[in-house]
Amino acid sequence: MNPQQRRAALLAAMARLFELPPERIVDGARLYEDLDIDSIDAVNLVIELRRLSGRQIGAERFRDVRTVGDVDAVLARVLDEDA
Amino acid sequence: MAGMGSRFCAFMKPNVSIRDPLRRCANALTVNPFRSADAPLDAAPGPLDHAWRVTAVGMCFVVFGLATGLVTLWLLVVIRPLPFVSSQRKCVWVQGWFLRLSRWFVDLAQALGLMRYTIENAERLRRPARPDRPGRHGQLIVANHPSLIDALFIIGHTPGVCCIVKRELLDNPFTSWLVRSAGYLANESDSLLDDAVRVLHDGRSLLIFPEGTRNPSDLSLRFRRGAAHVAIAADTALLPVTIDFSPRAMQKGQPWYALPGRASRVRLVVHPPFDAVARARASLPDDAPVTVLARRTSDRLRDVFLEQALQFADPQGLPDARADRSVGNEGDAVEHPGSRAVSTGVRA
Repeated sequence: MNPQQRRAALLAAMARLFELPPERIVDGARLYEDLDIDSIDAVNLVIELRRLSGRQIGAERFRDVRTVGDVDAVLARVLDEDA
Repeated sequence: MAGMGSRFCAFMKPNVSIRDPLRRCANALTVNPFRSADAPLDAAPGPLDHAWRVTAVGMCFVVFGLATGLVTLWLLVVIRPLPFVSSQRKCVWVQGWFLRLSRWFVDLAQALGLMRYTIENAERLRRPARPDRPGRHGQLIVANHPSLIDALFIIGHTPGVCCIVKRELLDNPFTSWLVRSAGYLANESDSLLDDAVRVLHDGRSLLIFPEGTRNPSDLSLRFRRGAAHVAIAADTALLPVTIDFSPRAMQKGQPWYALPGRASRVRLVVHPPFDAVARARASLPDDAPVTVLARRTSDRLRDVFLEQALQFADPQGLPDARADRSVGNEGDAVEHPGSRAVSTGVRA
């Protein structure tokens, strides 16, 4: 999965789960304050990312995630580790 | 006008149970000496009225604090170490005391002339949510949160209700055993959703304020989606309780002595069970993710409260509109809430 594909997958997942228009899902957007994503939403996002990447991603890896950019970075690291 | 007044008074009358010594005590207390008991709440208050109410609020908190302290002592020192009594039975006793204390506090505040409250359809609070499984499924009670004492009205009228409390209460050695015995859940817990579902399936009712904290105005209603998620996971209807506290008092960030110009009228309405999840599902495709379902469910639930807030806001508390209370037309109903929201925002 190249960075563009990864990014597109994340965008699609967030748009589907949280009904967000793609233009609001930018790196700097804060999950809770800007995008109204709560803790239960976050759990569902992790499940969706596991499905997308086909890899086990521990929820603890998202503990310090605050923005869309952070989520993307964690996802990138997970994919790199296995590659 | 006169007809309205008397009908109002008829259901205002607190139902006094002579057998409950705490209630008898609360009702025997002096009412506000500066206001006759039958004076309508919106009559112009006398100059001493406000001073009395500030004194009475202070008294209320002191007396309630002492009563709570005594009950805590009784439960911790006498009930807790009792041998040969199952912990389940002790839990029932603790819950019973929570109910009595809550009801006693609101009755005391009412007897002192701080407010008058009514609960419409209070019997619904005690009904099982699933007629097909009577007594086996608790109700998910949701309420808006205008004031500090909202929970007390509901706890005082719902036997065995479970609440969600601050984490600190479970860590505090004085309250820990009590809160655990009452079976209350702590917020900010990872297993909160599962615990909430278990409570309902065990047949206990659960009280949730979807706003999470007291709201700044009747129409702000920023609902979080926790209640919706519990309803989805437990597959249950919600029991909406709308609370109209007018004029608003004991709001977030206010000192205890900052009381409005006149005594508050508190009107709680217990609505019929509302299946927000089913309604949300009907408007969504079958494969919609649970996150979207929770959003729709929460919106549907919020609509119930918003609609009621608009109705409550009608002529109450608006001096200029009071004269034509009986007339009321559609245009007025839309106009009032805004002006009311502004007036609550401005009040110091």
